[in-house]
Amino acid sequence: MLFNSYEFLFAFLPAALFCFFLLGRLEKPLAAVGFLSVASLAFYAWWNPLYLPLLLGSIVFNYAVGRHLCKNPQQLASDKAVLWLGIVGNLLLLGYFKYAGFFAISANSLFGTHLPIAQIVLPLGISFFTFTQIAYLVDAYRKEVREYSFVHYALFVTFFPHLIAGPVLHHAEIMPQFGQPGTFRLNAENFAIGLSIFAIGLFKKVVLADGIAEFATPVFAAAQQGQPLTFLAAWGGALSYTFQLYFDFSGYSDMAIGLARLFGIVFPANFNSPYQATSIIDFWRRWHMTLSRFLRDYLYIPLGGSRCSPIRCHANLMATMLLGGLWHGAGWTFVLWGGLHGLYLVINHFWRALRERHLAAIRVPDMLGRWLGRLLTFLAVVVAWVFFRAESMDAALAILRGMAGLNGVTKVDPNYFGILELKWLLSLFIIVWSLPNIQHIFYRYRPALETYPGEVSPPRQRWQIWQPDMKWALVTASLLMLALINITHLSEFLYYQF
Amino acid sequence: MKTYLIRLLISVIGILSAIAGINIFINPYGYFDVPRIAGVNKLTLGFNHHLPLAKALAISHIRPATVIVGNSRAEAGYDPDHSSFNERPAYNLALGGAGIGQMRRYLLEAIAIGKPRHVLLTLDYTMFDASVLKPVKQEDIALLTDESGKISDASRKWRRLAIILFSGTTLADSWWSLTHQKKPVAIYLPSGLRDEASDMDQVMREGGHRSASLRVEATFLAATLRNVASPEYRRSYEEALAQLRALAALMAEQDIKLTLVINPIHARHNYLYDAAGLWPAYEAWKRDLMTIAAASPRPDRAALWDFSGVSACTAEPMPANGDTTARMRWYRETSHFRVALGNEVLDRISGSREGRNCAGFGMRLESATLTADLARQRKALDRWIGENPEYVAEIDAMARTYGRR
Repeated sequence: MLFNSYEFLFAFLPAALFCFFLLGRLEKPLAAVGFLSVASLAFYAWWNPLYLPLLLGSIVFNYAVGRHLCKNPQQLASDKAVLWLGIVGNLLLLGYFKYAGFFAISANSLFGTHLPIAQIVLPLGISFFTFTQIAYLVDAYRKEVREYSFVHYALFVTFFPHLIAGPVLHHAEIMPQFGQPGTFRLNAENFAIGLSIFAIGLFKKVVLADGIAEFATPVFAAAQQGQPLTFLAAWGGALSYTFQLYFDFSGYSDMAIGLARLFGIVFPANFNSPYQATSIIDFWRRWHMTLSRFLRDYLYIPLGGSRCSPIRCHANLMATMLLGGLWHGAGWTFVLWGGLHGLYLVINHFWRALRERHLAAIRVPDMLGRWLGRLLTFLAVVVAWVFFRAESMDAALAILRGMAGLNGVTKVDPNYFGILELKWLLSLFIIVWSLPNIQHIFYRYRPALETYPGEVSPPRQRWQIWQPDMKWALVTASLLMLALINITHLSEFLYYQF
Repeated sequence: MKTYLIRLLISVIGILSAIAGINIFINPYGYFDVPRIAGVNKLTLGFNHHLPLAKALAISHIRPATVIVGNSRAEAGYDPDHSSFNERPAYNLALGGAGIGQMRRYLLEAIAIGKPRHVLLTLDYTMFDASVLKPVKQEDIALLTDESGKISDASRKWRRLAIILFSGTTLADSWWSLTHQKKPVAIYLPSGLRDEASDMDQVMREGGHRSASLRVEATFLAATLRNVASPEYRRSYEEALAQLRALAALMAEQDIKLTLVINPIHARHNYLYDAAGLWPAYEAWKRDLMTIAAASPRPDRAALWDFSGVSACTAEPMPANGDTTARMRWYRETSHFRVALGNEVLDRISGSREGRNCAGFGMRLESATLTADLARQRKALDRWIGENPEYVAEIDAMARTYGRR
């Protein structure tokens, strides 16, 4: 079931809210949590009931391992083995469903083997619920987890707003909320904030992401078919995808945050105007923040983080980003995307060190420096997205050739670039570079948990501060209606495939 | 916060009502019976953007007894108000770019909804192209019937109504319809016929009949040669034939009179097949159509007519390239004919005013005489080739650019 489908909006969601708060009103919080877990499982099974046992098995396995790790306040010698059992179990599950085909194809082409290529359908959300639970196990091993009931744990993993495409939740920030009595009481503020955030997310997805997608898809399809792309067509396609992905995923995240808030749960923020980033380091503190936080805490730091020699530190960074790329998809284009970002980060760190040590005397006006950094970062990100989106390496290179002007700079191909697309791109540039995020608009009402400190803060302009008045009611209703009337055909969220 | 939620609810209801009100009043698909005001909603211009949806709505409304199906040639060439149609109302259900698959879906819809008694199924070779066999996205929204032609799900009707009342698609079409009432855009008449005036104006704006013909001929060559060369071609061709065969059987089963018509393309276009090396395939296609018509369980209710051969009308001389003043009597360009020629086709089929304007125009194909008829058509084309060296040289040059001739 998709958040942008009529059956979700007009059947599943109202029914889930009604039953949850009814049980809350009857003062049966555990039953309410249980109900929400079952409803979330039904939400998951709507897509393919065959994978429901897989999800349930994963939950039971991880809960059992976590419980064993939590049992003693001190670490036992056997704990490490149990933790590794848990991690390997999770990675095997992910490896089989997500990477078996990829590894077989790669081995066959690299070593001339004849491994059978399994045709496995990727279970929705497997990357998300596996990572969430690995974090839980690691924290249980570190004795940073208090013991939770199975019902609470099951809801933490399955809670439908985040189940399929995140945000990547941390148990410590979510599970305590399931135990608070206020969560189960119908609350007008939660409803007002939740609905308003959801409306913004739905608008981003249905109107902006799906709107610009129509310009991105034909360009990447043409590249896949080997058609040469002109300079404008290639840039038009790459920029369109850059915006499509951002509005699609940040729209999804906003919807998830809004939906959770309807149930009284506050999720962490996941985006903070990433295209306003002034460096790649800054970009990764703004893009899919809950994933970058996970990669930092459970991969980069355990590898040694930055407390080692510069070479080792850069190697850790590269390894983290390569794995981050592979997490997004089982394909070499994703690995290359991750590698490219790893390289960008290494260069960024190197540049920073160079500036601090040798170029500190050179002063660049703040504003100019910020804009130069922003432009350079944006260009680097756009180039990397080409690999992320392209169906093959050849297609990615075909687009990059077009962007480099190798197929002609002045030629205009009206099939792939026109005035309408230009208007769209300009509008979206204005939005991403000047408008605030939900954590700024709603900052007075604790819209999201801070993934990085200081995120929930006022916007630059006073008029951008949300207030429960007629003006915002009209704005919210307009966004909601613009989105709803455009759901005539369903389009999946891009991050569902990861 | 409660007040805010109430305001939000009122705003949502208000906006929703306003959208529905606009869509009903502007009525871009002509579905609602509302007063027509010149310059505001007199012309239902939503047909220009969502023709499959608009025509699907029209057949629900009109429930035609005679249905004309086909692609852009039929859409602008056959007038449902022509006197030869005995079963009324008649409706032009043709859709630009349609292949056999899409035609089949719409025909099944018309049968499920209105029980037509006569179907004029118009054909040309391009409708068997693999690219037009692909399902069209709008069908699932527009039609009440499923792939098998059954109205299996009552919710489709409500969903479609919700779409024409509340969707952004309809709202955008309402806006476009409102702002283009006085602009030169294509107009669809209530009978489903595409008024040719705007198409003719466009032909003149873009360099006249010859220039338009050259463009269409080049597109045809590129697309058809690509199609024939594709590995999918044979399979998709057989699939299209099978769909047509099933349609013919269904017509017979439902006692619906079926008239299959091969459209009257211009002699230049006929020669294009020859120049592209497609003449044997073109003849084989006609033989396949004949086999289907002859195999109908009710041969007395199924006829195949061929108007594509060279005749006085289809050999109409073409103005010089760039001439934007001369108007052809029968053609828009060599692939698309005008309503006047469509009327000649309908006259000829119905037996009225036979051959008054067009000597040698069209023939009913019969299995027994097919080989002789095809030979006669070939001979007429050879004669035309001898008499029109300028056209032949022009088309040969074009074929050479695609590696033919």
